Amino acid sequence: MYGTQSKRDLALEFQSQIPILRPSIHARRANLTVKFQDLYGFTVEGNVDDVNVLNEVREKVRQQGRVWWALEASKGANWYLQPSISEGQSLKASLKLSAMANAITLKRLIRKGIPPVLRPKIWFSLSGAAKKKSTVPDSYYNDLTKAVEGKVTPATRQIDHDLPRTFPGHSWLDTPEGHATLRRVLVGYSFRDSDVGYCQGLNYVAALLLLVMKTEEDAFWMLAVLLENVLVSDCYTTNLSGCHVEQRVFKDLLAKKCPRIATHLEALEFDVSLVATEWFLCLFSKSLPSETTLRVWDVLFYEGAKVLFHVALAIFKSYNSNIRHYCGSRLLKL
Amino acid sequence: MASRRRMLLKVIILGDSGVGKTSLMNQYVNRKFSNQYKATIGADFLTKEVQFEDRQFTLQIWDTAGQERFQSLGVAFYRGADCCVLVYDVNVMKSFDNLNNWREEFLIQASPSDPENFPFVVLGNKIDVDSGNSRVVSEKKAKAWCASKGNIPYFETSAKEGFNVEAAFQCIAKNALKNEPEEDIYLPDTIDVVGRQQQRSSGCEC
Repeated sequence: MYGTQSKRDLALEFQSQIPILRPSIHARRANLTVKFQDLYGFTVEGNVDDVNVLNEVREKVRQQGRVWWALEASKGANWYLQPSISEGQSLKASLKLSAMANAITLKRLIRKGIPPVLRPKIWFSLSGAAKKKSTVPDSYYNDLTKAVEGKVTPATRQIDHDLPRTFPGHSWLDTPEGHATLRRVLVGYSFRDSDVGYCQGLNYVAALLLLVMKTEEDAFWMLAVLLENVLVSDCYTTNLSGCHVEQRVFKDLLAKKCPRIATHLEALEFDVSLVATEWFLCLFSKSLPSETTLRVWDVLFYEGAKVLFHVALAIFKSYNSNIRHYCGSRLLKL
Repeated sequence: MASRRRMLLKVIILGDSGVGKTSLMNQYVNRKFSNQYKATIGADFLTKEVQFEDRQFTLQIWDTAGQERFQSLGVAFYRGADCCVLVYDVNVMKSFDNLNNWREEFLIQASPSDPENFPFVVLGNKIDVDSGNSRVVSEKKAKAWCASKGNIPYFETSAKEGFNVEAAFQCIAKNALKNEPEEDIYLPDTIDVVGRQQQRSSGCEC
């Protein structure tokens, strides 16, 4: 769909040019900036050590891929579609040991990352998007996009405004084709749910969904299931009421789980919603590298909206010492 | 030594989506322009050290999302603001018409102790576009509105070309400083902002 860059390990290639790494050149090496395109076509900039970490993670995900293939071979291609343990009601009816074992295996596997090639298929099934799509005629998406073509609303005006400002510079998204595709998905959804219409932030979410799902229709259904079933309701409606609720909950959660950080931020009169609003509305797509965001989304689609709170807490915890060193004039910039 | 609160000046930039809030902030802080900025969601900020005579201040500039529904997040974002910058695009009439809405919404949500005298600064941005031929809001009209709202200082800017941005932010910083309520600190009668002898638009006494 978008420019497929060779997936060679640039860092390894880079390393081969520095055959012997003596400690003395470590520091210099860390300062060298490497620029490359990641799996989803985003330009990533980092020093050599960053790139090495990224490659280690990728290797782990590749190994995970082998586990997925092995499971498919032994349990059948759609083994994970059996009822999950979180569906309490159906659990009683089908309380089979194998189903439970599968659900536990699945949860653990997903937390370790879904291999990129399997993502579209697994997301589509596990999120409920496939089910949602199956309840309407096959032509639903095409009919919708045709019916709304050429219509101008406040939502479409805002969408048009945001298309070039959604991951600018991306090798596919920031092209006329990319803009047009993203536009159809967002405009289509704005007519499906007039309470939401279009809310800034959805542009980033839909864009990343497009990159993963490969087809715009599947991206559309993923967006629909996210807003209608997975996330807290009314996060994106005209007064962002769901978003306000999330921020209040997160504030309380932070006070409970990281009391020292919370007290420190309070002393600085720094409301956590100042940074966390963007995280929750863009589902981290604007703040984390794409592959990290998608790892979060892997879990989000299976375990639900609580995952956003886990990740937000984790970010605060991992910056714990930085945050507590900063005072008044130098607030956290993550 | 001044108190910590005293050292930090908080400035909020408001205005319709796409008027150039992020660009203005980046032009002032980093002296850079890019046409690759992402649409701001929620809020974002940059800080800049500013010197008044021998004292250092940190200007904390908050950039916000322009879509109307984000106004509902204002309470947390606007709290403790020392100056509010209202931005419109001189080529888009609606962005000018909405200034009043942005101003009123700010006063409601930030509820400053003295709303009558709370410092605002208005910026008419993108004056470079099409060499001014696509302009729809005249300077006169903008100034008239500013005058009607208690003589709000007004600047015409181009974030792209860096025109008048420095002067505008010096005025913003000065007004933010004036708004600080603490009285226990000695303030000279005249405040010399570094490099203030640049071009400036009329309407601001700083």
